[in-house]
Amino acid sequence: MGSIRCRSCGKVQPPAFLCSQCQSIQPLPQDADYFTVLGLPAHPGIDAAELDRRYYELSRKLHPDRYQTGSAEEQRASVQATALLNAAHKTLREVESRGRYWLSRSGEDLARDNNLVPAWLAAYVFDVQEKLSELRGANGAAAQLRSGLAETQRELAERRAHERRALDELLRGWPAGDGANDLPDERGAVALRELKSVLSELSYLGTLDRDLQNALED
Amino acid sequence: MARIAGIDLGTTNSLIAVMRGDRPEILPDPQSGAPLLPSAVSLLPDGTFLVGEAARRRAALHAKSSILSVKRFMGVGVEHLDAGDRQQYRFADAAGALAVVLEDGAGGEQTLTPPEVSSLVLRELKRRAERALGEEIGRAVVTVPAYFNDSQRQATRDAGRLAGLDVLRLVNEPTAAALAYGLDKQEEALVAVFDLGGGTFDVSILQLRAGLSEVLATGGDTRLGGDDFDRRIVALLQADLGIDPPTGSSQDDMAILLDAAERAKRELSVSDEARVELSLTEGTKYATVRREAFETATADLVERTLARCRQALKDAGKRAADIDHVILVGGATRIPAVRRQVEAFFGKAPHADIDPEAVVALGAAVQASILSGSATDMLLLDVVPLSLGIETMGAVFTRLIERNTTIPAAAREQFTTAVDDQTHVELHVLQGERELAKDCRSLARFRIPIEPATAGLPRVEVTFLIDANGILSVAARDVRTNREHSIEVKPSYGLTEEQIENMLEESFDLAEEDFAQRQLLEARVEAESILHATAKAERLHEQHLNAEERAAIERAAGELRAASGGSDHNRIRDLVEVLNEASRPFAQRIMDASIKTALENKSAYEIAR
Repeated sequence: MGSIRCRSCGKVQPPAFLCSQCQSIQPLPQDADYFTVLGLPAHPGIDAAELDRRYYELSRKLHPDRYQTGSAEEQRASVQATALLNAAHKTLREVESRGRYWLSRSGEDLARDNNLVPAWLAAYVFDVQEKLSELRGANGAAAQLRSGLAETQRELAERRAHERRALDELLRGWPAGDGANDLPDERGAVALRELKSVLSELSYLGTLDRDLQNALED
Repeated sequence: MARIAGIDLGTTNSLIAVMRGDRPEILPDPQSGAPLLPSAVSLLPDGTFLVGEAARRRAALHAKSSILSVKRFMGVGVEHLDAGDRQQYRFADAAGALAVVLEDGAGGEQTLTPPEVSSLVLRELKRRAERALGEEIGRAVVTVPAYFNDSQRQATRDAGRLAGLDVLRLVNEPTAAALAYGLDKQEEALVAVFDLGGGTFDVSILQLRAGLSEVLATGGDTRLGGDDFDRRIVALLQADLGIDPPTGSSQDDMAILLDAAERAKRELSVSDEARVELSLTEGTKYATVRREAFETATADLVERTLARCRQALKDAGKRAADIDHVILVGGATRIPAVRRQVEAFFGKAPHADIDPEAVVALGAAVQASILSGSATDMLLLDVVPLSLGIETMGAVFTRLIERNTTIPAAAREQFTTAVDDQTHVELHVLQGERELAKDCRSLARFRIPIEPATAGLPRVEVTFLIDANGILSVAARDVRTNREHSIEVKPSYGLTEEQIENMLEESFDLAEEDFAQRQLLEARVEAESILHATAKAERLHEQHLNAEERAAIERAAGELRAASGGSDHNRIRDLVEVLNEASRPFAQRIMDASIKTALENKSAYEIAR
């Protein structure tokens, strides 16, 4: 993470929405690090209450409503800052998007070398897809299949909740000191592999859930 | 700092409010004291426009000169009009922005875009406020339905500009309602705002937390409102009167039926039964609507609102039982069945202490005070109502910003070319929730110039930014040259900057530039109405009229007609009274006879009740 120079007083400092010296609003790039701008430690195991507290505190200070009488430059900076703040909060608030963000922040990509689908998941996905195609072919006499699928949907929701809990635990117990700029040590490498695996499982389950939902609504 | 007004620019009615001390207050019409300004506009033979109550009444006689609920047409295209719209209004054939053609009744006509029509309503509100406050109002907060898309928001802001108002903020109507109730001061609460207005329905789920108000989800229906309940009553009235088929009623009769239905709806909010008198073409008729029949006939409409509530809760990830407060907005929430069903659905009694028709404007005034810096303990966080994205290969809609994302929001995407030596990249921006581009609403097309190169080599980075009003702006940068590019915007349904400039130059004349002029116009409308009604009664009920009376009525009518051509509004009003007096015994006899006929047609059982 580089430093920025305050547009108003010139102080050089780590990226922050408001200058630490003169409190004037700073135009930050939209790809600024979410943890840094929220003033949170760079660790994926986040305290949700603390995240919300920082978010609301910063919203009050940065929102365009507060710059209605400000200069055009301040108004522009306020819109950009709030957009970044909103994206940071939304991404970090939810465990799955936070996991994805952490993965990409660590220079990894879910699609790269990804052959991590476990056998149980593949079997499960095929099973549900078969039921779905049966439903599509059945038109009319589908009541029983439909209730069977509703049962599958409940089961799927449980599996997803279970995976999310596993992800949350993984992120909480993430090896400390493994920031974006550090080379991952062995523990870090293991954790990253595990993160990738949980995220791809969640991604498959999510797609399956959407397909099910669409089929049941039709 | 000059005062900032809060404006509820409604489909059926509009209101303006300001803060007086620390309380928001509606500014009523200084003349009539009416808080609501009907969002009606009517073109007069002299080429000027009448706005408000007089225009609404004039519309009954001069449908082709008048427009009643222009908000439906804000920011939409010709292809979104339905058969009903086309039957009611004449639209210009011109490509691009939609425009309505109004006839002036003197052989001429004028073509207006929906923002221009709305600007006339806003100018009237502005004038009303300036008169009441004795100071100029140049800035305002204007409310919009929560699900208004980018084009509709742009159109609303354009209307403000055309009215000489700097629209500082567009606020979602339900959010404004929560502000009016001061619910944002709650430590933590989940609020559902149920807004059933004249022509639109929306529901919002808000999360309020220590001075912060956050919209978790919005839903609604642009085609569901109190007017639909009126139409159901019309059907009941037609059935009661034996009018079959229902489409058989003439346009004149339809206007009378709708007017009666509206009154019956109000009556049914306080009584079990509403009786209405209808001066139809074939004579005066009486009809009765019972609340039970009304509720049965409108059950599906109420159910549609509840279905939207269910969807909004689902989008917010909440259950009905999680909701702490329910707020009612809109005149149609006075309907007992609506209140009952809403209460049953959410399992708690809704808030209705503040007039449901005024609550949104009052909240807009509160937001105005936040913007003026006098209420720093509050802050409103809104969300974008519909997903925003672009058309990609295969005519697929690719989302860049998901619906219900808190605004301001930004998204960035890189694009390249598919053909060698392209000189520009064209982007089609869409809003909606469907998978295919053709099923989403087209917002605009952007042309971004690039340096010609081999296909796939250019890299254009496009940044979409949605501001605090929910309005989109786009910036582009050529990644290879690091040059910022200007973007040519072609709004799909809105006005271009050039069009707005032109409209500002040749702005329409609002009637009644002064009080006397306005009173004259209103007196003329009134004279016209009574002359029309009298002539109709004479034609239909000749048998109840003796020669002496006819002569007196004709004399009074003649004098009134002559005075209407003049400019003395007091004389016109006096002669309206004279004509009223002259025809009173005649009117009484018609009424008695009609009641007698009506009673003869009823069974003894019904009379006894």
